[in-house]
Amino acid sequence: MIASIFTAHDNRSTLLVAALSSGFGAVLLQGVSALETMMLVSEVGDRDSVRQMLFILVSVFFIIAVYVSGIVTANTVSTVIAGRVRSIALLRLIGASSGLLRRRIASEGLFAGMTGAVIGALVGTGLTFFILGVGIATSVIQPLPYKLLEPQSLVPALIVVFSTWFSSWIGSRRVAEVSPIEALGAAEERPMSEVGRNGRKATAIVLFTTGIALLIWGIVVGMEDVRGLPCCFIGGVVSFTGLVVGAIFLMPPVLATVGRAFSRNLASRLAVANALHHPERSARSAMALAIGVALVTTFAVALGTAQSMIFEVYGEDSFPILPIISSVVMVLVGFSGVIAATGMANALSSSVARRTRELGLLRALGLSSKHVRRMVVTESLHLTCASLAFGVPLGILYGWAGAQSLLGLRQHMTLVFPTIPWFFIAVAVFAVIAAVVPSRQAVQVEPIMALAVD
Amino acid sequence: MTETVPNSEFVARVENLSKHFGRGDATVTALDSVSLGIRSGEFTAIMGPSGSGKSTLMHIMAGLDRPSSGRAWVGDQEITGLADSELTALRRRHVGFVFQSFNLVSTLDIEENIVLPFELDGRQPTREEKAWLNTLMESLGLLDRLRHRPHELSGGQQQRVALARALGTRPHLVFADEPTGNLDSRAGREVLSLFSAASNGFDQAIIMVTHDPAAASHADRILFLGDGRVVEERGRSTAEEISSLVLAMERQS
Repeated sequence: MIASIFTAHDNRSTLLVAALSSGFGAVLLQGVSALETMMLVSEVGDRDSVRQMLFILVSVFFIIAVYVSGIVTANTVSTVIAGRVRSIALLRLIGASSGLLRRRIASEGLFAGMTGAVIGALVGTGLTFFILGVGIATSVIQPLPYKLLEPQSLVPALIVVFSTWFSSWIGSRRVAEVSPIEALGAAEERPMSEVGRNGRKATAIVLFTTGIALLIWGIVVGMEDVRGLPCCFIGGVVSFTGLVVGAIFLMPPVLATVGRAFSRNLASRLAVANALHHPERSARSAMALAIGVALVTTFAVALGTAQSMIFEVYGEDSFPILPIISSVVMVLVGFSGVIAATGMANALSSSVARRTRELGLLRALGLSSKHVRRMVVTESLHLTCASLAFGVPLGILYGWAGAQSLLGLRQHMTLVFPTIPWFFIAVAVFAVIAAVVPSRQAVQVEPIMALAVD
Repeated sequence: MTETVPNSEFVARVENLSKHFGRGDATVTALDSVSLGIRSGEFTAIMGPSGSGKSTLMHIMAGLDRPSSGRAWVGDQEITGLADSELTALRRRHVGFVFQSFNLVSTLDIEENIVLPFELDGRQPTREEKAWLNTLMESLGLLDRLRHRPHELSGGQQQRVALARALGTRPHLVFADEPTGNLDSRAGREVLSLFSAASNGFDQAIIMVTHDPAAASHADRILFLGDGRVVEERGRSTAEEISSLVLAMERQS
């Protein structure tokens, strides 16, 4: 068998993301099962329809989490391959076919996905048991014969395993672009012009325009019919996938514009220059977080818009439970935001690991470890701001479209912008967390690393 | 406070320097009580087979690594026992580096690369320093390349940029680690004659680690290391003389 292409560090990020979504799925499913048990003893009128609604709600948020993890995983795999061009080219040179390498990478993804799914399911189940236990002990929750461990509890983990394997396979397409000749030269990441292949561009444009058309159609249909909402949902997912595919064309201009605000001192200039010098890698990192930002914004705007529409029609006191539902939904969506932030932290930390040589050089020439840390933090802030600039307008569009298609038939067109400061605070916190992990690594770089000859 | 020994004769020196790696039976002695001094305006080549300790010696003299015992000075400053932040500042102000693989910062253009050591020091070059940088860039033939990126230049040109970057702050000494290792022989000769000219013309101490006798023949002084000790020292020599000396040393071992 050929040597492993990915290091333990590369697989660890895939594993972490799989664990997060599998754990999330386990908690959701077991939470619903516990609620069902509670409903059996309480007097809820239409038990079946409530159960169905809960199931749909939980599935939607789980699917969103799986979608985000899938994109993060595919991104991680492509980024790692982009950084390992030399060794992959060497394997190609001595006779490994790109199909073999892809299968190899996908099976490593499968293994990481399985491990992560099991860990996540165990931790998630443990968490549910813990919450139930504490709830019963403090008499908040009724002591009932809860059945948490049922065969269907395994479903989320299985979905996560499959999606991790599938997204590793999708991400490994990058292998086919590596030419064996690259093993002979000092292969660096390719400049933009060479990455920009027409196939990718065409796919991105087709997906995006189809999605936007569906979205508009959904809004129009939604004026008279409830079927507008699913149409908008599909349109949103399709158009966003188009943006993700086209990230390496769309993100660099955003990064360059945002970067201009940062060029104050040497550390931040180096950070911005580095992000712009590796457009493929930076675009992928920023896109991972942009997805999280867009999702959270979408739901915040949709809920806010829907709420103000409903209040306008039925009055302020009509549905006192509405703000509570909003908060629950935001927490559920926020989890996908956490997965996206994890994706960016991983991308940054692998970028630092790959720049050992350059950081060593700067240390040898006299950059203090404090400045190295500042440089990495700035890079992370730069990417975060770019993803905000990208994700927030999109989220506002999608969220408004969703609310409009759902409630448009009762309302004339109104657009309400909700103010959610805690969302931005959360993003800032994620950015700091995302920066801390890789910068600690960067500071450990010894100046002698610069002198090493490969 | 360790005693400092001001000595105007040397810009860098080491005394009884030893370095061991590992411990117990697995101990490897990379340097075994080495003492030497470097004068300004002197272009020194350090030669020796792999594992002779030449890289370790350079790392310690440049403040990149610490010795197991012995002392080292850069200028009048004793560097053994300095904290990491002090060593960082010392490298920034008083030591220049030229590497085998050029090691320019790929995200910066040529001029930014050359000014980098000043920026790392948190300042802009003074008018006097600017004039000096200009002289350097002119004499190294870089004036029409200032807006290029490193990858747009040939290896020889990149190494000239690295030399300009190393000389820019007028450091006490410049270290060059196999500076011609990645160059073809013509570009290598050009770079070496620039080293030699910089050393004599600008009164700059340069220490070059190399195993190439042709490269060492450009130096004013050649030190031969073997098993962590200075085993031989020569003045300016031809490549043939150096080659036969190296061969003779290899036969002895």
